[in-house]
Amino acid sequence: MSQLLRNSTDTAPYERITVKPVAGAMGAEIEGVDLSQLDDATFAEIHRAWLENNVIFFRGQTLTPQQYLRFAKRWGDIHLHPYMKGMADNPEIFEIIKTETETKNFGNRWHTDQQFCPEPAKATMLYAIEVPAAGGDTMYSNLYRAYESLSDGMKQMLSGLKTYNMGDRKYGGKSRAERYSGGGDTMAGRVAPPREDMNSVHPLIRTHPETGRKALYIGSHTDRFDGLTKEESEPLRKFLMQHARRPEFTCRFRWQPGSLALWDNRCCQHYAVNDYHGQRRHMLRITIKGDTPF
Amino acid sequence: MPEGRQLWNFRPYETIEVARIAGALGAEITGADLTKPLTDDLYSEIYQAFLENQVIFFRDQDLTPEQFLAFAKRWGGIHLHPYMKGLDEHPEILELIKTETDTYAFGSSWHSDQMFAPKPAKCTMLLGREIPPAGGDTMFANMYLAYETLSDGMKAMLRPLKALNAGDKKRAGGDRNRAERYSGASGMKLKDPGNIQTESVHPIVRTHPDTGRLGLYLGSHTQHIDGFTPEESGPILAYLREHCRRPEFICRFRWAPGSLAIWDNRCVQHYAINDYQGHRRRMHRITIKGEEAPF
Amino acid sequence: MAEAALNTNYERITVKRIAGALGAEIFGVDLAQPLDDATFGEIYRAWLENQVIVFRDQDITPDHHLAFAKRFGKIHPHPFNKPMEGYPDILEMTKRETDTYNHGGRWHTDQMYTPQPAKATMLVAREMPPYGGDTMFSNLYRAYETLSDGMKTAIAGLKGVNNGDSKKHESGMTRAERAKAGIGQMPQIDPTDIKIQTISTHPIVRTHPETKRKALYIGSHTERFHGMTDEESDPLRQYLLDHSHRPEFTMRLRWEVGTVTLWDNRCCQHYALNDYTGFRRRMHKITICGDTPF
Repeated sequence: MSQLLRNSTDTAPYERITVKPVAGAMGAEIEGVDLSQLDDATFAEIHRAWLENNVIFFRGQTLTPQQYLRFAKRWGDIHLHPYMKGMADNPEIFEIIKTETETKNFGNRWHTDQQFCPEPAKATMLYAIEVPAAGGDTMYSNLYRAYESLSDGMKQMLSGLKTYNMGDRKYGGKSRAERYSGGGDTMAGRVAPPREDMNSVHPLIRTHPETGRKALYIGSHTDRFDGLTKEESEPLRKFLMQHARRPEFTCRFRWQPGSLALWDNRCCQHYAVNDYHGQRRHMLRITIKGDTPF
Repeated sequence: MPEGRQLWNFRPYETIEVARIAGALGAEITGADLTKPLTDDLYSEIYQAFLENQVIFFRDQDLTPEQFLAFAKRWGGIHLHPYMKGLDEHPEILELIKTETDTYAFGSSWHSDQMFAPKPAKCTMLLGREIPPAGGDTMFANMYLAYETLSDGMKAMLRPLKALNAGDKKRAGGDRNRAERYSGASGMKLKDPGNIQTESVHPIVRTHPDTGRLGLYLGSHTQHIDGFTPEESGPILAYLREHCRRPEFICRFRWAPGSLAIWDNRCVQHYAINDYQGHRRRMHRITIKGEEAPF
Repeated sequence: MAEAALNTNYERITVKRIAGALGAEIFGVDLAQPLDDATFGEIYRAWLENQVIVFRDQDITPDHHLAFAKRFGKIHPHPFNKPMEGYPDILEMTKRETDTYNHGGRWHTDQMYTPQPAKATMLVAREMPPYGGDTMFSNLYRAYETLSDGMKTAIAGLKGVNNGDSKKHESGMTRAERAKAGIGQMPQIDPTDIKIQTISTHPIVRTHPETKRKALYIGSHTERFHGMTDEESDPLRQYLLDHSHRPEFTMRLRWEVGTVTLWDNRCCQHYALNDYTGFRRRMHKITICGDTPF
C-alpha cells in the first residue's frame, strides 16, 4: 500500500545512500553522498533512485565545474541546447542567471526539456551557485501519474496521437530573444538560435525506455497534435496540460547554494517559479543526451 | 455498412421541383399535393430529395390529421415519443403548443431527435398549424459537412469514439431536467416513459444507411464520451458542438400555416428558435421509427 | 523591492520566509509555554506580513492549541462538521489508510460561504504520513495586484455568491450525500441543526481589515457572480480562479508531527494535497471568528 504512488522497480533496500521521498507523487532527497567522489556501486543506487522518483535532490554539494561535468558524464553524453550558448570556458555547462533587475526568468512554463529536438535530452541537472533568500523554487510534475489517472477511454483515444513540438513557439507572439529581453538581457545574450527552427513530432503517450512505463509526454513546447489543426487541438491540449499539473502529481524543491537536482525529462515536467524579483539567482545546468521517443 | 444494405440509387427528378434554400442544406419542394395518396414514383422522388438535401420543405399543405398520418406512414413505422402524449384522437401525432404566456419552447437547443433511444427516429415531420406573425423559425445544421470539414487527424481520432446520450438528464448547456423545463410550457402533456430505454451509447461518427456518407452524431442529449469521465469529455464535446453550428453549415426556415418540414435525424441537428414571446404557435409532429441502431 | 529572508526587525522571534510570495517559519517560540504580550505581538505581526506562519517541533496538547488560538480571537464553530469529543472548539480531521477522499482538496479559503467567514485557521499535525499530504497556499493580494488595471476596474463592483454545499463540488455530491457514502473525514452535523447561514455573497475584491490591502477574494465555494447567471459568470469566474493560484503566488508546506500553522483566510487560499492514499494523517483544526468582508 505504501508503495502505491512510487515508481518502485525494486524492493531491495538501499545500502549506500539514504533516499527520502519528498511528496506522494515523486521526488526524493538523497543523503549521505558526495558527488565529487562516487564509486560505481553508489552511482548505481543513485541511478535507481532517479528512475524510481523521477527527480532526485542533493544538498550541500561543493562542485567545481570540472567535478560537475565529471558527474554529469556518468549519465551519458552531454546534450547541447540548440538555442542557447553555454559558458565561454565550459560550453557544455549552461549558466542560468536572473539578476536583481531582470523581470523574466528562464523555464517559467510547465515543460519537459527540449521536447522540440528529435532526440530530447533524457536528463537535466541543475546546480545552485546563488539563490534568493526566499523564492525561486522549482516545481515538478509526474507524467506517469498524469497518464495513469486518465480513463481507459481517454488513454485509448490518445494512444494514436502524436504531438508537434516547436523550438520557438513564440508565446504571446514573441520569439525567444524577444521574451528574454525583459528588464535586462542576461539570457537574451545567450540566445543563439539555429539557422532553421527545430520542431519535432513525438508520440503523446511515451514509453520510458528504462522503466517501460507510459507517460503523458506533453509540455509547453507542444503546439498541437500532428494531423490536427491548431484550433482542433487546442481544447484537448489545454485539458491535458492542466491535467498534468494537478497538485497531486507534483513536488516542489526549495534551493540552497550547493543543492543539485537531477530530473528525468522522459517522465516529468518542471516549472521555474518566478517569485523573487529583486534578488539574484545563479544556476549551472547540464543536459544529458537522450534517444528518440517511442 | 451492414451486410446486404444498398445505397440509394439517385435519378433525375420528373414530377417535383427541388429548389435549394441555402448553401449547406435544405430545399423547398413544389409540384406535390400531399393531401392525395402518393404514387410510388412520387414518393421515391420526394425521398431522394430528402436524402440529397437532408431537410425538405413544402408550402400550403392543408392536411387533415388523417391525411398527415397517411402521408407519414409511407415513410415507415410511426415512433411514439416516450415522454410526451399525442392528440387524443391520433396518439401518433404530437401537438406542440406554446401559448402566449408560456416561456419554454420545445426543442430550443441543438439536437437530433431521440438520440437517447437504441434506434433513434429516422426522420421527423413538422406541420405548421398556427404561426406567430414573426419568429419561431427553425434552424438546421448539416452534420455531414461538420464531419467533412475536420482535419484527417481529427477524423481519425474521433472515428472509434462513442457517446452516451440521455433522454432525461440535464441537457447540455442547461441545468434543468425535462420536468423542470416543461414547467414553462403549459400545453405540453408529459408522460412517464415507463420501461422504454432512454439512455443509449452511439458512435460519434455515424454512417448514413442510405447514402453511406459519414456525419458527426451528437446533440444536446449527449452527456459524455463513452469510457471517458465527464471532465475529460468536456473540452472535446464543447469544441465539436461549437464546430457543428458554424453558420456555413446552417439553413433557416420561416414557417407559415400549412408549411411542412421533413428532416433526417441521421445527418441533421435542428434548433427551434424561441423568439416570439407573447404569441401563440401550434405545430403537429410525427416521427418515423428508426430501422436500425446507429453505426 | 528586495526582501530579506530574515526580517531583522523582530526581537523576540526569528522569522524565516518560505517562498517568494508568502509564508514564514517562526523560530524561538514554545507554544506550550505562556507567551508574553510582546512576543505575541511580534507573532501577530509576522502573521499579517506573511499570511501563513509555521511553527516546527511544537509539543502541545489540545489545551495549549486552544489557548494559543484564543489569543487571536473568538473561536468560530464549523457549520457542517462535528467537533472532537471533549473539545467543542477543535475539529479532528482524520484520513485513514483506506480513505480515498481528501477534505480540502481544492483551492479555497475557509468558510467563505458564511456571512462572517473565519479570519484565521490554525492547524496542528498530530499524525503524518512519511511523505505526502503537503498543503499549498496562495497569496490573494498578489493575485489581485497582478491583474491589469482594466480587469481591476471591471471586477471592482463584483460580488461572489459562495455556497458551502455547492452542486459544483468536484465529487458531484452534496455534503449529506458524501456523508451517507462514508466519504469525508469528519462526522457531519445533522442538517436540521445547522444554525449558520451557508450561502453568502461577498465582494470579489476584498479589503483586508487590518493591512488595508486588496485581495482577490475567490475560491472553490464561489459559484457565480451576484446578479449574473451561472453561464454568464463561468468564463470570468474560471479565469480568476485559475489566476488566483499561479505558481508565482504560492508556497508549499511540508508537515511533520508537531508542526503548527496559522493562516489568514482573508488574503490567502489553501489546497490540501491528496497524494498519500494508504497512509494515515490526522490534524487538529481551530478556526477564529472574522468579520463581514468588505
